[in-house]
Amino acid sequence: MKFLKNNSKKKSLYVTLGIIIGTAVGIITSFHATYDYLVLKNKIVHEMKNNSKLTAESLQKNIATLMASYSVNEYENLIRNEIQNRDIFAIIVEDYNMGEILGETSYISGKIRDEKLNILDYDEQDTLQNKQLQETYYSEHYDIQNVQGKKLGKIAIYTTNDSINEELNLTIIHTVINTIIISLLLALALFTSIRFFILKPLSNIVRAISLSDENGIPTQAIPDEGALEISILSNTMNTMIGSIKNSSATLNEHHKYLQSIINGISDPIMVIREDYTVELMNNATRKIAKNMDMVADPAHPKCYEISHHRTTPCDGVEHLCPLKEVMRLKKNITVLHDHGEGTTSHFVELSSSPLFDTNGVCVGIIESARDITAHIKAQDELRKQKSSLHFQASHDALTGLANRVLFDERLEKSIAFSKRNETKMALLFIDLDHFKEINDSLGHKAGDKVLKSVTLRLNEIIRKEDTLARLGGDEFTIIMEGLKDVQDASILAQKILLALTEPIMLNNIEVYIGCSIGISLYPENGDTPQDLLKYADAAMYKAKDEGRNNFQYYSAEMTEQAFERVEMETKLRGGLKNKEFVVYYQPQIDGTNGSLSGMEALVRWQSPSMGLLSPSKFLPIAETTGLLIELDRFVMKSAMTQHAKWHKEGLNPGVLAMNLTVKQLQQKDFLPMLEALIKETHCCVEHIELEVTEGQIMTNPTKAIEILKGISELGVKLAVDDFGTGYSSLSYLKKLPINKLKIDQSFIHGLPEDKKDAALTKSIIALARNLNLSIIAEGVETKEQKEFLVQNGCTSIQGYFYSRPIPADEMQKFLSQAKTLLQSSIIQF
Amino acid sequence: MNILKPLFGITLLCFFTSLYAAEIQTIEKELVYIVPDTRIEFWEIMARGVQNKADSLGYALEVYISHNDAKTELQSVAKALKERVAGVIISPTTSSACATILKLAKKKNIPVVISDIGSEGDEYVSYISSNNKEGAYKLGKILAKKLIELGFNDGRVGIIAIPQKRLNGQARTAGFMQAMDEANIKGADIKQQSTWSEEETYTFSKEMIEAYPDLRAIWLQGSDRYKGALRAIAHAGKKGEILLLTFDAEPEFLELIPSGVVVASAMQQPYLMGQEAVLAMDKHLRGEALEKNIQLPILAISAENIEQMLPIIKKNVLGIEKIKK
Repeated sequence: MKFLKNNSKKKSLYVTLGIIIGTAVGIITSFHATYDYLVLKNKIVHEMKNNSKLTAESLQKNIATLMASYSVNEYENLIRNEIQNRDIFAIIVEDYNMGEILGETSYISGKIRDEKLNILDYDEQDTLQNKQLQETYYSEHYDIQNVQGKKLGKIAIYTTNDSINEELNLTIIHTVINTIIISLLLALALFTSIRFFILKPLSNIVRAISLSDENGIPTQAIPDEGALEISILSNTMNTMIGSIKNSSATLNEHHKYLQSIINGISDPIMVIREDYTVELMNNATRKIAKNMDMVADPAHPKCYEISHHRTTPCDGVEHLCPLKEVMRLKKNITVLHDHGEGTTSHFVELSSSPLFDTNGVCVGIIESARDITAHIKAQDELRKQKSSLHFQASHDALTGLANRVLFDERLEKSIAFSKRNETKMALLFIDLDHFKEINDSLGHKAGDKVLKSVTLRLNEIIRKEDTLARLGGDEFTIIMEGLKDVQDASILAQKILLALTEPIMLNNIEVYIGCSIGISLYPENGDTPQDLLKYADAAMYKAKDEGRNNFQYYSAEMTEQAFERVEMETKLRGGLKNKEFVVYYQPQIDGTNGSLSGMEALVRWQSPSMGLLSPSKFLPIAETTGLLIELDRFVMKSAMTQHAKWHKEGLNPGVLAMNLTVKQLQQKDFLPMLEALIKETHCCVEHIELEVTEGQIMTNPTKAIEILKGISELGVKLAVDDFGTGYSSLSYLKKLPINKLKIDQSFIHGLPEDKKDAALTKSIIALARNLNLSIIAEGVETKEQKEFLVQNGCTSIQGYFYSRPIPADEMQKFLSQAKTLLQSSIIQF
Repeated sequence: MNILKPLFGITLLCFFTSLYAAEIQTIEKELVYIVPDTRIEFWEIMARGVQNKADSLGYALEVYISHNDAKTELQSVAKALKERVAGVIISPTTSSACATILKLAKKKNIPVVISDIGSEGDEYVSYISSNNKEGAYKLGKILAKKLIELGFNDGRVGIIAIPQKRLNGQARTAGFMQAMDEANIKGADIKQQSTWSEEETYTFSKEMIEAYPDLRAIWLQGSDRYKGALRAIAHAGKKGEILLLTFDAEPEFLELIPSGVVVASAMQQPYLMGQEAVLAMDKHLRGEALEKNIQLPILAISAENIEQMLPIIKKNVLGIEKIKK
């Protein structure tokens, strides 16, 4: 029978049958006992009633005699004896004879038991006794008659069920004992029979089954013995074992087939049980696990031994354990493991799905691994490229600063931030002064270097939280968030101005560049990016108007000015088209004798709507809109034509000085154009003098020298306009093919009282003399100025002292008069 | 006028109160004695004893005769209870019947004193009885002595007994048999009286004489039907061979005992018992303590001591106090 024992918690057949038999026997005997009990109870009740009846019959006869003889005590004793002997609760007698003697209906007496079963006299006045009588189980009443049939009285017999209960309890005890004994005997008999006829053959079957191969399939036939059913069971099992063997063979084939399929998969695949045991794997996995030294039990390798070459399960700290996660989540997951060593990464993507048994319980996982190192690297590259593209899209390629796109975005965020935090914000719009000249004269590379240099300087000045952007060309913006005080913007602007005042070295050439800064404020000036940018731009223009190299805050007037600028631009274009521009001429006089030595051609705009406008009103617009070149060429052509005409008319107009803007210089066709214009107008080359400013030369002195030499080679004279206001390098001055210096009117203004102006003027005059250059002073308005200049060697005078710029017809008159009044020392206009 | 009215009222109140008190006194003073049968000398003497003491103590006494009939006895009791007498003195027909009487009296809260016979119940004030056992024992001793003197001690002694249901009957038999046992005298038959007639006594005596040839003595547990026994002995021709002993006494015993016709008699003192019964009731009614069972001695009288005991016999046994006067 030992073959029927194992460690299973299931109850054995022996125990099960024991329970069934015990229960069945218990139920049957219980039913039987209950039936017996009920039968007995009915019998006892019947006997009790019968006993009561017999008692009554017995008493009826005896009491009748005693009643007739008035032997009350005797029949009471008789009643006592009956109660004692027959286990009766009470007997009550009504005696009519005694009643008659006592003058009552009847004399009632009797015996009754108390709680301790003592027999007491019945007292009809005792309520407790009467209550007890009413509660008795059974009572019977009988008449007492004498032999003649006369009623002598009544007798009542009361019986309780106490004795019945006592007897029944005793019966129950006996029945229970009997039941237990019968059950035990019956069970013993049944167990013995079961053991011999059922369990022994079953044990033999189990013994035969337990002798099995490695797949658990029995190797021996099941013995055919025992009862018919067990014999059938043996035969059936033999048939079943045969089927299992066939199925096992088929299953092995399927298993091999399946194994060959998964072996064909290049990714490692494992079926892992909950205890980390790898139940199934393909060849790709075996390749990973070829070093089987770490595998303690090759028949049952563990996943951590194969995948991680560990002797213990992973703790899940370095990487997520797919087994634990799938067991926990009961669903497919994909995790990434880095199986690399040292700095080398080796990324493996593990896709795991739960393995359910037939009951739907998750018992392990199916895991496939894929080396995605190359994929990850490709992704990284792509990400970097994307990042770079994004950077490029949002940043200026030259300076690395935020570009227009990013600036707009930042500005919008800054406004939103300021709105949320109720803080101020400033937008600085920086436009480099003379950058275009540098770009044009020194080339774009130089310009780019300037921009980079400017960027470096600005980056050093601004706060970390400020945004510096380049909108294009020489336009920079700075967004200042969290402005505590408006003055903070001023302080930054001052720093910027100072920083950009310092010269920039370009291939050993010092380039001087300033800037004009416009500032708009949130929320004072606007609350949209468009408004703030527009207003900062307007303020910047104002700074330009104010002489550059300064900063201006936006005001409402600037808006108007901006509109005016737009209007002016439109009108400017119309003016050019409608030939509203005219050339005025300001005489240049020899101070020593008052004779005309030449004239400077100056443009005026005779606007039908605005009247006559000086160049300061429209030249900046013309410069920014590109109309300047056209306007310049118009002036040059007009002046040269007029000058040739005057010369042809026999008038002596002298030198024709014309301002040459840097933009003209930058025009590649300038020299051919100038040459062609000379030919076209028949203007004497030797009378033509082009004035260039220091700033125009110094932005790109080398280029300027090259062009100026070309001009000079045409025979055109060159003069440096506004001399002394810039930062002219004397070394360059020496190289320039210039013929004349023109002292700026700012030095003249203080003459002769201002000693500095006087000293500077004297120095410039001396410089010109030493360089063998002619010299002229402009802006001379008083006699004292004229005389100081003449006394110090500058005899050529231009200014209101002699004449303001005059139209051609007036100049014609002047030339005509001069011809006739050549002798007059002072000519008053 | 104002003073006279209350005075008149008080006077009337006092008058009616005194009348009511007198009435109560009258009721309380009334006693009833129920006697079984005055035809029997013993009861008649006892009744006189009761009457004597009731008179001397100032009680009105009504004597009801039961005629040895339970119904009559019960009717007497019912009547006494209905009249709510101060107390009932009873010599019951049987101890058993007395038990019922005691229950009835208890329900009416009327005290009962039992004089002789006894009761199976115990709801009585006092039970005046004779020490029957001791008296019978003394009588047995006298007989044993006599039988030994006569050489009759190997013979048997027969008993014609009063009903053995009576406690006094049982005590008499027990005391007598004890003396017989001590003297190793065998007993013969014991027959119980039921009709109390002389003929019955004769028949019983005859039957025993015939049944027991070695019969040497007959003890009659009564006195009044002694002639029946003497007649049977005489008819059997065993006069002088069979001795006769009695219980209680008849006036003629004063002569029969000295003459040896009656060897001896245990004499109760009925007159004294009647007096003691009234005395006990009186004590109870007056609230005095008294013994529940009062046993009076029985006089064992033989020829040897009759002369000496004669004054007591006359007074307490025969109740002939008035005769002396």
